[in-house]
Amino acid sequence: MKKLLLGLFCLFLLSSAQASELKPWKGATTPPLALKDLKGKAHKLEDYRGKVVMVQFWATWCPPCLKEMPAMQRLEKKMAGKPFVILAVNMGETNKDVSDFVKKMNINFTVLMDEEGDGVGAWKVFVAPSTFLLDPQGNIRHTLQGGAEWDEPVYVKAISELLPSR
Amino acid sequence: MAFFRLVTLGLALLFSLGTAFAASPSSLSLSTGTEVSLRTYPAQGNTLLIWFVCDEGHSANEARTAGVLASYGYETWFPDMLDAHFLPILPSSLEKIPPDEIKEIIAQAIKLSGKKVVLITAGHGATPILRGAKAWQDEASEQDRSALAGALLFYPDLYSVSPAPGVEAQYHPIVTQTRLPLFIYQGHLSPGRWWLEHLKVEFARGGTKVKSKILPKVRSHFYVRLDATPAENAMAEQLPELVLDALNQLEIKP
Repeated sequence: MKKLLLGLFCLFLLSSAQASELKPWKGATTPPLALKDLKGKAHKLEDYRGKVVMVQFWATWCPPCLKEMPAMQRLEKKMAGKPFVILAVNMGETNKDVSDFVKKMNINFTVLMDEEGDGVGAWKVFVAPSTFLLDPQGNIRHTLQGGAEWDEPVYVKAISELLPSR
Repeated sequence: MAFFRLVTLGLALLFSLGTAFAASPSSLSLSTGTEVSLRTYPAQGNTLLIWFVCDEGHSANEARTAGVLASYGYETWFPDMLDAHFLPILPSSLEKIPPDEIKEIIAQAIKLSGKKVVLITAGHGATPILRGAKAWQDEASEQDRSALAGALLFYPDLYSVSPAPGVEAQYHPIVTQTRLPLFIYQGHLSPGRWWLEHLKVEFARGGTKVKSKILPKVRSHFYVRLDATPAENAMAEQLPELVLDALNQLEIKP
């Protein structure tokens, strides 16, 4: 029992410690991203030049992904009217599974389907969720591994600082 | 007369069983001073599975599997490494086990049982277990080396550092140093499935050919999860068959 409680406590500490931190990007150029959404419409990263883009890799089987979805919805609302877009890239699930989930969660942001894992491979995603923040020129500026409360000031500030100046 | 024959036969059976199972110790004393308690599932075959579980609280599926495997002639030992090191019940705790202790457990297991050994572990346990295996191989004579017959890894985490998004993953050097028949099970619902072939290429660079299978509709840790889905529970029920299939593919007979 003592072991179990210690384990649960450690898990709690681990999840708190992962209250995730944005890391400045020091890598190479932005990989390509060309995927279809749930309705079959093709999206390319270049289509979003001039906007701050949040590219997030997620799956319905990933608890932290589900946990952060409402915060992403709130973030999108907070950023309404600003050149900001969320592209949530689903990792290899079926269109039906994801459509059902999107309907149930009432998700409004764009969900892209990476059925063959091309995006996962090109963007080197090893953990779900993994998030990339891109500036209006299409350069990756920050990454974040694990879930986050995306509408918290620290993230809103980081995203706002990437917005194009008027 | 018939009664005496029956009693004699019974005693002979009991004696032979007792002799066959006597080699299973209840603990191992290591030269590091660590005392490792063992749960053992004796069997009469010539293969001993050493299964390093990530906890003892949720290992009902492993224990049930060991019972089934014993009926096929595979003996299983569960060394309780977490208890031996006062480590919390976390998958990552296995990472903290000294590889030299794994080496010693392999050596003692081979010596005490006289059987060939197969290692089984999951997740973060893969690195110390493979390091222990290599350390044992490095010290074993050419003719003894075949006593370590292979390893079965469930959803292994062999990264040297936790991989960051967008950055090439760094595998622990043991991946390219391993020379051991390996079988890997990877859950379909895990980013690891996209990288399994990549990992196999890394193993192949060191000369290890890995056999593998993606398990549909399950996440990593599927047989120990508290939040297991019906599909994961169903797959956990099949754990004995999964182990048997892997051993079969590695051509390891009981």
